[in-house]
Amino acid sequence: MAEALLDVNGLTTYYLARDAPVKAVEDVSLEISSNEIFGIVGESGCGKSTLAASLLRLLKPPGEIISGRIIFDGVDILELPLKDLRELRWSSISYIPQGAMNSLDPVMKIGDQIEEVIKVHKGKVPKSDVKKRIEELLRSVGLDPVVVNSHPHELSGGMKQRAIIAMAIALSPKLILADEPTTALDVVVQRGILQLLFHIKEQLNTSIIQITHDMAAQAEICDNLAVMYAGKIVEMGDIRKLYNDPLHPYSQALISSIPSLTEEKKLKGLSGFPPSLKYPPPGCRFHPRCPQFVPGICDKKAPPTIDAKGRKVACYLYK
Amino acid sequence: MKTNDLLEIKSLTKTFASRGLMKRKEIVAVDGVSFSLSAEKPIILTLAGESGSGKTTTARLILGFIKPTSGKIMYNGKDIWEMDPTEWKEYRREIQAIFQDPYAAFNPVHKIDRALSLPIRKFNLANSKAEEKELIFKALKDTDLKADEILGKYPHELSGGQRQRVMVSRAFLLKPKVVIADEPVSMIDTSLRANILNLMLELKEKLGISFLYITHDLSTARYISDEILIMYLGSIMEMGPINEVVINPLHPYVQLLIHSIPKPDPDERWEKRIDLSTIELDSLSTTYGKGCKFHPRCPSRMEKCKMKIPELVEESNRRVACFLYD
Amino acid sequence: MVHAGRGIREIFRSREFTAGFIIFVFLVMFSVIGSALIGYPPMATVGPPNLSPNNKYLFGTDSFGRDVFSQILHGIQLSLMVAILVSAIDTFFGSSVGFVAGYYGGLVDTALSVIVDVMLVIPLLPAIVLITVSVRKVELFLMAMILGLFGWAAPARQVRSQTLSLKEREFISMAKLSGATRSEILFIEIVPHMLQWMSAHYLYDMLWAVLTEASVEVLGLGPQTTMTLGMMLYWVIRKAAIFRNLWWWWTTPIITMICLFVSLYLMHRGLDRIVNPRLRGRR
Repeated sequence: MAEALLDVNGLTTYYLARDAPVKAVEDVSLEISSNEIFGIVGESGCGKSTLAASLLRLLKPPGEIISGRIIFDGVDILELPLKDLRELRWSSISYIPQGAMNSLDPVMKIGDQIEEVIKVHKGKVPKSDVKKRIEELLRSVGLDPVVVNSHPHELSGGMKQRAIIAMAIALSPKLILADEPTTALDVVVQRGILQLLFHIKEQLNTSIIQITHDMAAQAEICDNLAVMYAGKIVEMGDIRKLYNDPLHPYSQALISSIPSLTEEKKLKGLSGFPPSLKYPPPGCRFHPRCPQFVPGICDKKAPPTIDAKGRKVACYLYK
Repeated sequence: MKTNDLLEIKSLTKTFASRGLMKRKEIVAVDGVSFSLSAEKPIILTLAGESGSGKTTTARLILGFIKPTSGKIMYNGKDIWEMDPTEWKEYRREIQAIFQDPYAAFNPVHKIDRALSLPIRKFNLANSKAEEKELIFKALKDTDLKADEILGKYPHELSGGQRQRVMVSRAFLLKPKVVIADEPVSMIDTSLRANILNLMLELKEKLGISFLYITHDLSTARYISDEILIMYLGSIMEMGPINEVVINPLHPYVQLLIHSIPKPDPDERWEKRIDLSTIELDSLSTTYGKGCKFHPRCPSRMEKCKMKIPELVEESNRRVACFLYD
Repeated sequence: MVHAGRGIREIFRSREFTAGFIIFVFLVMFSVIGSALIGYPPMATVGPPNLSPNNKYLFGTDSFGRDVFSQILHGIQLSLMVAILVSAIDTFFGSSVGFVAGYYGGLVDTALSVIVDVMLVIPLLPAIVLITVSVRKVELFLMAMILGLFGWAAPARQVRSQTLSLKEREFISMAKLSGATRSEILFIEIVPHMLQWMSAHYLYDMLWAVLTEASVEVLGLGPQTTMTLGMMLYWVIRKAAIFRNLWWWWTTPIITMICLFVSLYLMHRGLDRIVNPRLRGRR
C-alpha cells in the first residue's frame, strides 16, 4: 500500500467566540495519495473552506486548530516551525482560496505577480530561468505569454483564474488545494478550468484537493470524494461507488437533488436548514433532517466512522 | 401576430453608453429580442445565457425598471410605456419577480414581514388587519415555512434558504400572472434548490402562473421549463421546446454550451479536451456590428457569417439564428 | 439594525462610544450644575485680576478680573450649543439635499450637485474673514450660521452617492414591485438606511464645529462680547498670558477643549465602527 501523501487524523478546528465556539470542523480524518484528485463536497456552512485553510495553518483568528494531526509527505504540519511552514507553502502545497481571481494585485502586472511567487522560494528556480519559466507556466495553462504584461482588470474571469493556477503550479508542488476554483465562471470556461486541473494531475503528477459544492464538477474529475455536513465527514470513498450507491442519507439526498440535463427525474430536496455550528444538534449532526432518523440512537452520540462497501461512512444504519 | 398573448416582447433593444476612461463605448446589452408568453395556458419559459448575454437586462426591461432604447413590451396588447397610471398599477401587480440574492432582496432596516404586508396594503388584497394576517400565514405555509420562525425577524436573522422561500411566499400571496425569476436558486444550497424549483412548478400548476426563468444553469432549466430561449451577447441564438434544444442543439454556440455542462455522473466524463485559447477572445473585445456575434469563436464559421447577421429561421420545430440552417 | 431599541443596546456595547459618552455627560453635567451654582455671569468682573487658583475662584481670575472657572463652565455650554446647531443644519439640510439629488436624479441632481461642488471648493477661512469683516459685529448665532453654511456640502455629497448606490439594490426593486410610490421608497426604504450614518456624521460634524469655531475665534474673528472657550484663548494671546505665566488661564480652556474633542471623537468612532461595515458591503 502506497504511503499517503497527506494524512489527516482527527482534525478539529473551532472559531472561538465569547459565548460558544463555532465548531467548524469536528474530528475530520482523511488520506490522499499522490497523483489523485480528491474532492470535498458540501453545502454552505459545512466547514470545507475551514478545513482547507487548516491544512496549511492559514486560519484567520479567531479560528484555531484545537486538535488533530496533519502529516504531509512525512512531515507533521502542525509541529512545523513557521519558517519551514512558509517554505512548504507554494513549493510543496499550494492553496487557491475562494475568489482568488479577485484578489490579484490590481496594480501589478501578471508576470510580476508570478515572479513574486517564484522568488519567495529562492533557489528553486535559478534567476536566469525565471522569465522562461513564467512563459512556460502561462502556456501550460493555455494563456498567451503576452499576458505577462497585462494587469488583472484587462483579463476575463477565466483568464485570471488560469493565471492563479499558473502561480499555484509555479514551484511544482506535490499538492494543490483549490477552493471553489470554478464558481462564478461561465460554463464553457468552467469546463476548461476543470480539464486543466485534470491535466495538471496527469502531467505534473500533482495531487489536487477540489473543494466545492458543485457535485457535477466533482464528478467530472475526482477520483475520491468526501462529503461534509456540519463540520463532519459523513461519507468518503471512491467517487463512482459513492455516486452510484450513496450510503449516508445526506449523500443520498444530495445526489437525488441534482437536476439532470438528460434524464427525467423528480427532484427531492431536503427539509429544514443547516444547523448552527455553535450549538450543533446532539449525536449525529444530521439527525434533525434525516429521513431515516432513529430516536434514541441518532440523537445521543455521534456515529463513529466505519468501513462499509469499500467506503467510510458515519451513520448508525451501517455496522 | 396573436392578440391573446399575455406578454409580447417585440424587437427589444437596450444600449448602454459606457463612459470608458478615454472613449465612450456603446454596449448593446439587448439586441432586437422578440418572444412571447401565451395567455392560453401557463408556461415556464427559460431565458438562458452566460454572463454578458443580456438576460438580466431583458428582465429589468420587462419589469419596467429601465426604458428600452427601442422595441416594445406589450402586456395584454398594451405597450407598458404607454399605460396610464391605473393600467400601470395593474401591471405592477400582475408581473412579479423573484431575485437571485436572498441577502440583497430585503431591506435590512425593516422586519421581513414588510415584504409580505406592504403589497397586501398597496394592492388592497385584504379588508382588515385580521385578513392580512391570515393571508400572510397561508402564504408562508404554502412554502413550508413556520410563521413563528419567520415573522417579526429581521432579514439577517434568517438563513438564505428561508429568505428565498419568503420571496416565493410573496408570489403565492400576490397570485400574479407572470413571475420573472432571475437566478432564483443559484445562491441556494443544492439540496434546497429542489424545494424552490418544486414550489415554482406548484405555482404554475395550481395557480396558473407563467414564469420567465432566467438562468445560466441549463439543468435546472430543463427540470422546470417548457421552452427555452438561449441568448448570446444580446441576441437570441436558438429558441424552442426545452427537451429538443437540450438533447439535440442546433446552433454551434448552444452545442458548445450543452457539451460543456459537467455531468453529475463519474462514469460519463468529457472526452474531448477543449481548446482554452479560443474561448476567451470575445470577453475582452466587444466589437459588434458586422456579422454573427458568435462567429469569432465558432468552429463552423463561414465567410458569410462575418458579413451578415443571421435571422431566426424555423428548423426542426424551433428557431435558430445560424447560416448553417438558412 | 436601525430599530431603535436594539440599536441603542448595540451602540453601548462599543467601548469607545461608551467611554466618549461618559466623558461627554460628565462635561455637560459639570458645566450645567456648576454654572447654576455660581451666582454671577461669566463676564462679570468679580475680583482682582491675575489671581492664581484659590478657595474662592477655583481656576483663578483672568486679566480682566473675571472668574476663569465660571468662564470654562459657560464656555462648554456655548461650544456645545453652537456645535449642536451647526451639526443640525449640516446634517439635516445636507442629507436632504443629498437624498433629493441622488434619488430623483436628472436636472434636479445636476443643479444641486453644482451647488454642492461649489460650496465644497470655497475655502473656509478666507470666506469667514470676508463675512466677519463685512458684518462688523459678529455674534455667536451668526457664527453658527456661517459654519453651518460651510458644512452642509460634505454630507450632501456622501448621502447622494449612498443614495445612488442604494437605488440600484434589489430590495428597492422589491418595493417597487409591491406598489410603493417614489416618495415612499425614498422615505421608507432609503432614508432609514441612512439614519445610522447620519447620526455618526452628526457627531463628526459637532467635532468639526467645535474645532473650527475655536480656530476662528483664536484668530480674532469671533464674537468679542461672548466668552467661549475659543475666545478665552484669544484673550489669553492678547494678554500674553503664557509669557506672564498665568497658567490657570491658558491651560484650563485647552484641557477642556481636549476633553470635549476626545469625547466627541470617541463617540463618533464608536458609532462609525457600527455603521460602516454595513454600508460598505453585504452582511
